[in-house]
Amino acid sequence: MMTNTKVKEKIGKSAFTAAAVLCIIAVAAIFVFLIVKSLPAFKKIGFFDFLLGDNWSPDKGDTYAGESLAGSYGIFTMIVGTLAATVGALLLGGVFGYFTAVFLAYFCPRRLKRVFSSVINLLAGIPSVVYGFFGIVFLLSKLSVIAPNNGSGLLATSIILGIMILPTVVSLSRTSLEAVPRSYYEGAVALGATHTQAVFKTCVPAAKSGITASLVLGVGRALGETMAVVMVAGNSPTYPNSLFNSFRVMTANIVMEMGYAGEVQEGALVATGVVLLLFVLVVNLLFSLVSKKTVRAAVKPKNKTVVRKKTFHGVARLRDRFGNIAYKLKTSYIGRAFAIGAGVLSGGILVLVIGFIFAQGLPHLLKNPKILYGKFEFGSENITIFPSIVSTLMAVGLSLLIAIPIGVMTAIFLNEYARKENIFIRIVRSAIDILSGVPSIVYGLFGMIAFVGLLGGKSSILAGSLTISIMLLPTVVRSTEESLKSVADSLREGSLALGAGKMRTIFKVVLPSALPGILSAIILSIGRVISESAPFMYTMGSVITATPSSYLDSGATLAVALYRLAGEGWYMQEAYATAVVLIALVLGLNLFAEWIGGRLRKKLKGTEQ
Amino acid sequence: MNKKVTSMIAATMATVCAFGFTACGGAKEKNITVVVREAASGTREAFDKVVTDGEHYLQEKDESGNTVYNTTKSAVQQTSTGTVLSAVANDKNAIGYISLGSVNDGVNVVKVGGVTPSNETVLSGEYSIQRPFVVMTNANVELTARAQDFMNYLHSDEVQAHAETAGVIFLEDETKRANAGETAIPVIEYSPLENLPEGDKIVIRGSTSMEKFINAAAKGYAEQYEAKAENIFDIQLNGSSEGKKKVIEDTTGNTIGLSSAKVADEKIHSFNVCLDAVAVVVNKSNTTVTDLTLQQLYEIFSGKVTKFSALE
Repeated sequence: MMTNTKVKEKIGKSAFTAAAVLCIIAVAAIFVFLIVKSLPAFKKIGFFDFLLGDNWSPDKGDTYAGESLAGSYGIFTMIVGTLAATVGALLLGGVFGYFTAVFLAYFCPRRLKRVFSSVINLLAGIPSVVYGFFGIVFLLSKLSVIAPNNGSGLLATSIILGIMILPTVVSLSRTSLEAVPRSYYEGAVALGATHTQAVFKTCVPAAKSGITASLVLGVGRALGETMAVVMVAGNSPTYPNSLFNSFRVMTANIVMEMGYAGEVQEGALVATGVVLLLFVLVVNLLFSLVSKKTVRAAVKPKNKTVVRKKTFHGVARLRDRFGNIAYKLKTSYIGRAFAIGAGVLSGGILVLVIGFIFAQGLPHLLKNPKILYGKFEFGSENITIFPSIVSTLMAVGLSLLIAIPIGVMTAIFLNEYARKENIFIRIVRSAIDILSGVPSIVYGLFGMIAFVGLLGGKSSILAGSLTISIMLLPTVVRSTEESLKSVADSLREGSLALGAGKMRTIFKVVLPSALPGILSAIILSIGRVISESAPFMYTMGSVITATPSSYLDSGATLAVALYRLAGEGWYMQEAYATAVVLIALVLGLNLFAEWIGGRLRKKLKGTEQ
Repeated sequence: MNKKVTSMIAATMATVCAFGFTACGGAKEKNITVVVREAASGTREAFDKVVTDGEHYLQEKDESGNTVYNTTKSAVQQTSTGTVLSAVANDKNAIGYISLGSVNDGVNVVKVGGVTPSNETVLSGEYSIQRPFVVMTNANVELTARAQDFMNYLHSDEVQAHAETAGVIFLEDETKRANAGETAIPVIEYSPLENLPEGDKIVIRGSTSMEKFINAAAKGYAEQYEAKAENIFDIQLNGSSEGKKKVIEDTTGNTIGLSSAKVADEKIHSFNVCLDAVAVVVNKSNTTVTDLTLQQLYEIFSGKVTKFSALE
């Protein structure tokens, strides 16, 4: 009996460790494949000419064998462009996201809360291509009124990116805000702080690590966003020297030219991906340096007196600083106003985007419902997206099947087995940080070189699903880990004290309590698979004409189909109808997940009592 | 941290509000928005290598053989015909170019040097901004019976109707059909075989601009054997360069590539099956700009002229 349990424990632990190791392998593979593929280009162009040159004039005829290059391949303008766009997105989306999270956690009436969290989840599910069309048709035409040009440029890009990183920032910040023990808040209020003061001076600092993490994820998303940026940035390879001038980011460079690239040009595009990767590394490093302090400070004090002391000191300091009553009032109202304003604004954005798409696409969809289930016919105008619906579902299913177990197991390893920091755990953590920052188009490049290559050079749903499941890992790990963290230690201790083994404790006590977190990981993942297009374009193919019959067939997901349909300008209405379907799908999924989540929570409460 | 964040958000909100208020003004004539395609696009190549001020082209080689792009740096680059259309249709001051077959009601087509793009003017060469649609096979591999039969079909005038469906222009002239290397590629007589040749699906890769044409041709070919096109063809279009690559890699003689730009490669057999005109388009509300010379196009697209009213 004893040995049996011991064996089980051992197997369990090694399985969890193996999952964590897989994350490291994934990162290593991405680097190795991309670097090997881009080395000839680096050599041919010259490392510094490539990085610091500001002339990008590719020539399709350039080959590695040729003696000299006819084109110029310098990406410095795009490096600057990427940086500027990311900072802009962080200023808009990061700040709004932070206040929205505070609003949701502390200021939102309970009844509104559910509506708001659906709104945020929905924003996450809207495909980048949809944001792009929204940007071109709606945002640019509004901005063009004040802009000297048609509105494209840094401001439009920052706004679109800001909207896109909002859900990432909000959902993670909110989770960590809600995980702050109630006693912090109560202590602050008991000591005479107002609601707003208690929130901003006690609860927010305690959740700093989570909020910082959410910003890192947001930066990753902004760095890597491709399809939406391509449509609003303008894309001339120049510096972004004003709010409104055409400029290009690195991701756009890859997706714009890959389809038609010559030999050296293709190498240079993969090399652009490598530079993006290095970027992500640097950003991660910077953030870990900055957040190290705050993370240490925010480690939950186990001792209650420490909590009390901390809260007391916090509030005392606060009273010294804000002795003036008028000032106190001001901070209190300003904070609340911003929080509520941010909440309302994100709701407004959602209504705007969805309203725009529905106005464009719904009439066509209602007139031609056959687009959903009809059969594709060559050479006819009867466009159908049925094949893409099948491809999307297949990709969602397989990628969840791969990413959820590995992700959850890695999270368990990190939270349940790795409480002491050692070098291995640090490597696992930074691997996950890097994975979350790797731009989607770079995953696309990696998938194209690695999986499509391994599968005989043919793009397939299998290759696409493998690619996207690596991309999902960090989301799953982080979301699960946050919810594992919020499971009270007393539950674990109780279970262990009753004689349950560690495995049993994890599976019977910890995991069930963390289920809502895992569910939210699944929702986020499904949203990601549905809304991403860049990783699929070069791995799954963009065939919208044949229904896939196996995982080895190629197929376009709905988001890719949307891009393809709009591509030649022949089927714009069908494209918008596809967008409506996409959004409806995301909406349905969210409602379903919430319903399940609600039932689970009820059930959990039932067993606790 | 909180104070900083608060001031930052205040600044952003102020900017947003300022934009809202200033949004009412703006009666001055605005700069032209030049909308172009990405450097590697076939449409752009066709446009850039024809538009000239007599001295320079929008895309050319300098004395030392380096590629130079003279398109203005403030141009907006879009990656697909669809997004060019959206950009032009939603901007009163925009000008762009797209494949003639993709023109829709949202934009106006501009004459070039007094010539409207049409079948006749493109075939006669009067309308000069045009490009070939090229069909490619591997030069060193024998085609399978099925692929050969389909190639014969593409060589015949059976595809004329399909070209019309796709809004492109069928080429009859033998010398114009010839690509690099050959001198003449005649239109041949085609009649279907008794039965559809057995074998794997014909793999077709390449230019997305040729999608309408190839789908129509595939359907027409399948119909004469009373078969379904999806059972005969595996068509996946991701761009001309992929098409070229797949044809060069082909070892089974089963791959046909499509390119929307000239192909000069000794490893490839190719011929021009159709011509496509590149139409210059402006916003629907722009009724003043109806005819531009190549010189004026060069001035606009190179950024020398930034307002429509400044055109002579």
